[in-house]
Amino acid sequence: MCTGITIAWRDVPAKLIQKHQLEERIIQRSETAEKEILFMQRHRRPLLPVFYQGELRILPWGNRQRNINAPLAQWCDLATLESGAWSMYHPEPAEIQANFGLERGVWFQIREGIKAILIHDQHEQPHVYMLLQPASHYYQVMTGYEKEPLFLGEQI
Amino acid sequence: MGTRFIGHIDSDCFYVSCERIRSYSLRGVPCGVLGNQGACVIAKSYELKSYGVKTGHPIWEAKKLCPHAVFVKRDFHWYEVISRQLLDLLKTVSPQVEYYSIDEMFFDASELQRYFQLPLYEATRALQTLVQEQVGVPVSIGIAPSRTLAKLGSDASKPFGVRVIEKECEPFLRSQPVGELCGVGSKSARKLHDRNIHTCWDFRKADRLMIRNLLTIKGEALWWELQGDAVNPIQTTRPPHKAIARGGSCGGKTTDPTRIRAWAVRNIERLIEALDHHRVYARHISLQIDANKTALWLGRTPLMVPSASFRMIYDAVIPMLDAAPTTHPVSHMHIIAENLTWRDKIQRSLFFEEAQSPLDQLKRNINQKLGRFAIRSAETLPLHEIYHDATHNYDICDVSGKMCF
Repeated sequence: MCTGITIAWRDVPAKLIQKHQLEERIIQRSETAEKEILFMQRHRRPLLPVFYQGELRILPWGNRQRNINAPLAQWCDLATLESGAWSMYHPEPAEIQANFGLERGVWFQIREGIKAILIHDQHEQPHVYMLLQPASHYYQVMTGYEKEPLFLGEQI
Repeated sequence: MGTRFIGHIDSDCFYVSCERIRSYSLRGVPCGVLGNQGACVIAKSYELKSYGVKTGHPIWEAKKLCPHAVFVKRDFHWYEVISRQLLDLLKTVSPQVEYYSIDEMFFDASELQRYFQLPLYEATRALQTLVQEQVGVPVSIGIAPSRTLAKLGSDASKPFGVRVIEKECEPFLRSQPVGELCGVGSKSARKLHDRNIHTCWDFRKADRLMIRNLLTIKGEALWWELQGDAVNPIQTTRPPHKAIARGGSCGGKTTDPTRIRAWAVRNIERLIEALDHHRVYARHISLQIDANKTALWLGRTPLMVPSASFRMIYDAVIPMLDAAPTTHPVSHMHIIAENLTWRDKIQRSLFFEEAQSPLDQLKRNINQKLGRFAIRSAETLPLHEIYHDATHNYDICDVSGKMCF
């Protein structure tokens, strides 16, 4: 499962960086590379940059709390979604904005973004779940994992 | 007419540079481009190289050496677009350009000064800037009286360098090991070392006939080229192929006979496409497979008539494949068409089938219209993962017109 993504620092408005204290997540892969903001599933407060209702927002990545009425997960399998198993949560489409993704220690390029669903819990708080699909042969060889994110406009 | 100069332009980490044109976020990032199966690094940025990652390294080793590196899926179609842009740009500044490989070109540099209205070194710098601005890839350029010296110059000035070499260039040649010469492999280098020839200057000062005896006429040509005499001219069109091969990795080792046969049929279909493209027929078909890390030459079958017919090539390949040992896993396979003949120069026969059947022609027409492999043999069905991913449809060997691989 894709356990992390980064987005270019320049693509995130300063007010969002400040509001969500994203400065501590800034990384740079080399001196000449541009700054990126890191979003990991293992972070204490897992977040994702999501394009939803016409603007970029920083929203919680899935749900880890049992008392919240949203699936206890970070990812959603496309087949499960299509089977209707999540329909009780009224999922809405959303797009995760990302430049690079991380899978089993391999960073890969993401050209446009990743498809996701957004669910509101009983307090009307949004939770974002990354959509997964069976991995292509290429992705499987590259990362060693059998599921890959549902990318926008491409399949790796 | 002034002194004649030959230029060699070589793109710096070409595949990565192409990816950086369309993806700004890759700039400055340690980046590797992965090969056809997603397993091996086929190109790397200088940032990744500094971590010790080499071309051919498997990804699981590369990610250990540089855990924050980013890996990109290859896209040969895009690389060809950029390569042809570079070729077209060079043709505007030079009357003669040789498309040597996807990222390297030789050109007649005699007109550079007149074109840019600058001295030679500054004109070469101007060309480098022009390429960077208009194509978007960084290049290194060598200018010299011969192509061997020009290539040596561009290789030595990487990355993003320029070097102009005159006939008298002793300090430069002394600094270059003889193994850096294009055409001197490890075996030849050993032979030269045995005769106390270690640098390109030693090679230039060596006895010409001794070099000829040691490295044949090709070695002698190198000797002349190092003197500054251009004996290997710029070739603006590719000479006809002596053989055409299609093949490569079988997507990992396999002993499954249906998958091995599927790869053979896929390679036959790719080979027929190449024969169609070059307007030639084959008289002989050879098959080579790599089983258990050993290249097995499985034979050479003559065709009854020069042909590019699927049925005829299939009937030649499959018996050779069936004769292969089945116990060893197969990792690579190559099908080679040899003794090629132009299509308009064959003797037609009353007794054998046509060089291409109506079915072959129909398949070609449909695939040209609807896309590669829109119609393909049902025997390739076990390779669903390959055909499912459209990027497998275009390989480096599909970039036509270049002199070498």
